[in-house]
Amino acid sequence: MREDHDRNRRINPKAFRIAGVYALIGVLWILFSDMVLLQLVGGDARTLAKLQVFKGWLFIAFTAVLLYWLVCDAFVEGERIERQLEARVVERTAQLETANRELEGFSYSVSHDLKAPLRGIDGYSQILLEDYADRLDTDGQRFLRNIRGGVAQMHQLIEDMLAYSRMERRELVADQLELRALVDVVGAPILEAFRGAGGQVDIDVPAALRLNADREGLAVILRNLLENAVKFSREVESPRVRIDARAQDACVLIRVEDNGIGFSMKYHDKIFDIFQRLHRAEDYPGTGVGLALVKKAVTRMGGRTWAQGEPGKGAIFYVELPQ
Amino acid sequence: MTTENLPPPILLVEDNPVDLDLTLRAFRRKRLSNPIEIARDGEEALAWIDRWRDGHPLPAVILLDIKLPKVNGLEVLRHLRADGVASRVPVVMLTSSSDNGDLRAAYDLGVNSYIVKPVDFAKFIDVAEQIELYWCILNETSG
Repeated sequence: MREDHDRNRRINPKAFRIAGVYALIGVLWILFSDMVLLQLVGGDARTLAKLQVFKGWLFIAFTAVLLYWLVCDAFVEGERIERQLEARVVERTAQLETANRELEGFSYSVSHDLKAPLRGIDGYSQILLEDYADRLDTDGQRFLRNIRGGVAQMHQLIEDMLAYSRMERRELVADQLELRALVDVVGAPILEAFRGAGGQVDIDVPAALRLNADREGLAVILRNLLENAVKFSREVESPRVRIDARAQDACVLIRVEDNGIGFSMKYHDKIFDIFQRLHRAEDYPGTGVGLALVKKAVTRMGGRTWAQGEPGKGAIFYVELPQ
Repeated sequence: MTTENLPPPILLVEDNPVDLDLTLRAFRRKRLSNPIEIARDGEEALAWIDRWRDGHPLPAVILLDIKLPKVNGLEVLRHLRADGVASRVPVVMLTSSSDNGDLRAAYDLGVNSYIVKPVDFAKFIDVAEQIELYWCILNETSG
């Protein structure tokens, strides 16, 4: 910004023109007015001195008018450009709004039209399993269960894509939030099941820690990070998940740590990419949208996120949000 | 069972034949004894308003799909709520997603509840309890 300002001052053509015209008029005035005076008055020094003073005042009055005219012209030009820019901004905003509306319509169609045939496949295969089981051998029943598994996966994929596109375009609403309360509400169903399966949970989030953030965005971040931690540590011996948070430098740093299967640091950027998965679906089911959703929410909320991990030694996910 | 003894009907407004078939099956399996009346688009749904004015028994509940041909579900809902007779009937929206802007519009128009499709009997009973019309949903075995 400052650089732009300096560059404007160096090469601003408008200012250059005004100074140029002003200097030219000055030079011409000095050259020709003295010549004309000498022609008119001759050698009378007293009259010449009086007229020189008058000439000085006349020059000031004349150049003031000239300057006024030049500056006005520059302003009018500036205002015209400003109006043009404003008109362009209005036009672009309208285009963006249209694109957003179209995207919303698209999401709506995705949710409605893609799910409708899935309901049919799922519904009828369920009826086959329930009402026609006696006419299907074990293989036939297994095939049907696989069909239903595929439908469930597709359904989840559609839901996750919708959640992602919603996170991308929804308007954020800043609210004073108590982080601990939100962790408790969002984490309860996820961590309850984890504890039930023998997992250990440590929550170290001060009750007084507040931040100004979008509630839904923060809930998306916490939910996905906790689900991730639980999912990838479930299989290890004495699984442990820890979430802590602290305020530092006008930011809040949230850490979600697990002692699960971890990941190689060569994938540390990739794991936040949408549809990116590091494991086979039969080992760890998922759509590869969760962490992308976290990154999208964090970025939109003006923060940053990163991860550390080591295969077999767990992972730590960090989220830094402005307080 | 005589006509007077019949439980109040349920009006199902659904255009998708698969959703319609699966919903009817789910109700039949649980032996729901309320007669099911069907409208396949928004216009057919609105035609019921005249029948109710002519004395046809009012339904216990209207299950109304949001996305319908001709007249969409929200428009149907608006007409139902504006009608002196039909405005008394609880309306449950059928939607493919709970995260749907139309659902908020439906609540603004005074819808009573919603069911995310597929409609199964358990979800239907949950909603019926929630909007306090459990008493007029009858299973053949219990009713």
